[in-house]
Order: sequence, then structure tokens, then C-alpha cells
Amino acid sequence: MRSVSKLFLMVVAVFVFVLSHSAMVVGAEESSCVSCHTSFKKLLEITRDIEAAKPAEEEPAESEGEG
Amino acid sequence: MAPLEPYEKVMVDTDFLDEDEDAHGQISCEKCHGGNPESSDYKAAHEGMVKDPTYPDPSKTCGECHAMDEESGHPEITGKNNTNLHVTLAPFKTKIYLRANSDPCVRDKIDSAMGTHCSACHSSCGQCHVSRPESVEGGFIEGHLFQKTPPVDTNCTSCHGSRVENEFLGKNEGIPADVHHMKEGMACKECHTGDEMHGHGMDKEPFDRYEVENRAKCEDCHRMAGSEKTEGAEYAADLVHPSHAIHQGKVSCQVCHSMPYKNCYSCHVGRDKSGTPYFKTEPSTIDFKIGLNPRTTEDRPEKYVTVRHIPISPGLFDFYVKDALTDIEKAPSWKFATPHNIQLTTPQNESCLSCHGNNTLFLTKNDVDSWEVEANKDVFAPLMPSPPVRHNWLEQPELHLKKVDCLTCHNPQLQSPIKDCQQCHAKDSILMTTAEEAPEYSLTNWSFTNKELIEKGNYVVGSNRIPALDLIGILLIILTFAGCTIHGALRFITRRRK
Repeated sequence: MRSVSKLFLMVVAVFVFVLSHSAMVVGAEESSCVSCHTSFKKLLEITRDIEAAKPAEEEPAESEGEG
Repeated sequence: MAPLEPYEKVMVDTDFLDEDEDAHGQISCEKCHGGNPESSDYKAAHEGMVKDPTYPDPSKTCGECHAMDEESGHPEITGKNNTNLHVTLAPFKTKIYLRANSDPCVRDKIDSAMGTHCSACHSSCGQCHVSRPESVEGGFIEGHLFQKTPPVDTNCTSCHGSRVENEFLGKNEGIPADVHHMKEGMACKECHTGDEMHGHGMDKEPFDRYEVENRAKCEDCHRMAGSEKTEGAEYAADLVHPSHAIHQGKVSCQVCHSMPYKNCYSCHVGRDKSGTPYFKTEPSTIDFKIGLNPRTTEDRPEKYVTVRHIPISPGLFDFYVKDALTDIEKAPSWKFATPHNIQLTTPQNESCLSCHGNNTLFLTKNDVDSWEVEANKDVFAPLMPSPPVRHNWLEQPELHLKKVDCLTCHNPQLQSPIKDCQQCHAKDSILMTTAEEAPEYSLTNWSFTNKELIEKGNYVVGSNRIPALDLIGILLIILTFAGCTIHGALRFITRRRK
């Protein structure tokens, strides 16, 4: 009987945890903004592509002194 | 401040999505930024996206909730945005226009040049509370988590770096950090409150940032002894030194308490062959100059203030248009300044004579180029005769200046400075009661009174300043008594034998 109630409590705990985080997970799945901007891997790939596609930005060669 | 990698600039921390960490994370991205959240292609997703939805008008974003902030007691936040100098840069434009050619064609070119080189250095709600300012290439401060107080290093000093940061943190060689930072660990927000940062809220645009009513003021914390205090306000120790009573309203706090600070010269802007904007300035200098306050107001009545050279130059916009600043003499190139390197003791306040008569501290025609003479005519400080000359009514001016503390005669408790020999050189000398360093005990008691006066170097009539004479006098008295005693004893003994 004891082990059954223990098991029951564990199931409840897992259930509560999943429930409390489900909104965020669902939200994240819904928005491509969130899924991309929270993923290190995706951002790294995309920003690399963007940087590579950019024309080589020249430094303002003649700037001198303090701004 | 190290620059961020491209991915770091836009990486959102998952904590941002946690309601307990940041309520803003519950607002959908597109509500503020627009774009297309349905698309998984980054180009399509970013179509119509607004990077900073809070600039220039935050009313549709932050303003939805933060028009009023009851918790902090600010009457308005976004409601004052159009009076926020960090956003509008209004006085900056006013000063340039004051000097500018009035020809509309020339003005257009100046506007265009300023748009490229000057106006990019603004801020916004987002560029203080979410990301670094765009002028330093942006990037989230902490994964899009909103920061109630913008961090000093990523935000405040990323723009206010070369002057304020270097002064406040002691990064100018040989000059210590501001005492407020060094001793008290104070950051920008301790003086520059959120209320000030969110806008002045005044009906009239201020001429410059020193006209803003809710700006930081030394007297918000530092009060004269006995002055009225606002209930609930926290104050530093009262200003009890008599110099404050003497100089109050005549000399700005920084004149006495600021260390040498940075001055910039001769800015020129343009574009290089590839069209990339550039600027050039001449090397800056660390200097300290006192000038006349060219614009005294009820709030800023001081006659003498610290002045800083700004990088204005007649050829500033030459690349874009010649003769842009035809009225350059209409505003000074040495500008009212409040350096952020305050110290209790500074080279100019070590003694009265460190400043009075020290003409090198004061801005004169000799310190400026020919084109600046007219522009700074109201700032040049008139050079006063040296203290010995000003005190030549005294019998021995040099001796008095050397030996008498200035505050003895220029005592703020007196109705006017002592200017009559009899006030001091008399039996009932005024010095007995008013001298700042008068001994605590009576000068007419039976004990030796010279020691303290000698140590302090005060010049008081009747005060013996040769310690050897004291010693000789004491020895003579002892020897006289000893001689009499021995003589009497010997006579007594010889009589008894007879």
C-alpha cells in the first residue's frame, strides 16, 4: 500500500511539473521567434549566414580621436 | 566594454519567458516588434519587424502600461518621452543651430550631416532597459530580460565614456576616481534618478541640460548647516566649512572640488572614399579652467564655474557644406561643465591662495584660438591683482598673508572683512573671539599659551614665537629661586655655627 501511495505522489509531482511548464512549451512551439531566438544553434547558424552574406563593411578608415 | 558576437546580440534567455522572472515575456513578440511569427524562414519572419519599437515613440509599446508609474512615484514615464533629452537631444541641436548659417540650403546640409554623425547617439526605453544603445551596435543586455536600472558599463558609460566614465572611475592618468564612487561606491543612478532620465516634463524646451528642473544637484544631498531640510530626504554631513558660506552662490561646487578633466578640440566630420562616415578630433587635453558663467539663472546664480572645451570648430561640417557655422561666435567653445571627478581636497582648494591669485586656473584670451575670442568673451575671467597687491593697505601684506589665516579677517560670521588694524592689534583684539583658529583657552590665564599659537603659525600681537626664549626665561626664574634658596640656607647654617 505504501509503495502505491509513493508511486501516486511521484506521478502527481511529475504531472504538476509538466502542467506548470506546458504553457511555455506550447508558447515556444507556437512562435518561430521564440524557437529561433532561444536556440543557440539556430542563431549561430543564421547569424553566420547573415554575416557571410553581408558586403564587407569597411571601417571608417579616417576616424581619429575621441568621440 | 567587449563587443557582442552577432548571435549574442539577439539571443533570448528562456528566463524571459518565465512570468516570475519578467512579466514582459508574456507579451507576444510581434505585438511590440511586428514581423511574421508564423514563418520559419528568417527573412520572411523579419519582414516589417521593428528592431527598437520604443524609438522614437514608445506610447504604443511601453506606454500601454508605463504611462504612469505609481510604484516609483514618477508622475509619468513614457508620457514625458518627448521631453527626454536622451531621446530628443534637443539642446545639442539648439547649440549647433545657434552657430549655424541661416541659409535654408546650408541648414539642410547641416541637418543631413548631423543625422549621419551626431543624432545617432540617442537612446530610448529599449536602448536603456533591454539592449545596449544602437550607437555602440546594440545587443541584449541580458537575454532580453528587462533591466529596471540600466547597467552602468553596458549602457550609461557606453555613451558617456570618454569624459564622464574616465573621470568618475579614475581612468584619466594620475587623477583619482570621483570620491562618490571611490568612497561610497555610488553609481550613476544615485544622483541621476529615473525621474530625470525619463524626461524633464517642462512645457518649454530647456536651453541646455542644466536648465532641466529635475536634474541631479549637489544640494540634493549636501546642505549648509542649519538649512531647511526636506522631510524623509537623506543628506550627507552638513557643509560646515566656512568656505561654503563665503562662496555659496558665487562659485560652483566644481570650482573648488573638481580635479582636472578632459577637454576636446576641433571635430571634423565627413565620409571616406567608400562613403563610410568618419570623424577626426585633435588630441584631447586634461586641464582645469574656471570661467565666468555666461548664463546665470536663478537656479545657477554662480559667477564662477568650471568650463570645458567642446570639440566645436569652424570647419566641423566643411566636408558637407562650406560656411556652415558662420555664427560660431554666438555660443562659447568653453562650455559650462560639471566634471565627475569630485574630491574633498583638490589642488585649487588646498588653501585660499591656491586659487586666489593663481591666474593659471582662470580662462583668459591667451587660452583660446583667434576664432574663439569673440565666442568666449562672456566666459573669460577678469584677472584680479595678486593677493599682496589687493592687500596693500596693510602695513606688511606679505607677512599678513603668510601668517594670518585668510578666514581670520574674511570670517563669514563678520558683517564685513576686517579692514582696520585696530580690530586685531588691540588689547581687546577681535581675534580673541572670532579667529577660526583661536585657542580654546583664555589668553590671559596663568599657563603657557604660546605653544598652540606657534604650532598653528598664527600671527598675534604679544605672541612669542621663539621657543628658546621661553626656555631661557624659565631657567632664569628657576636659577633665581635656586640661588636665593641656597644663599638663605647657607646663611642660616653659618649663623647657627657661630
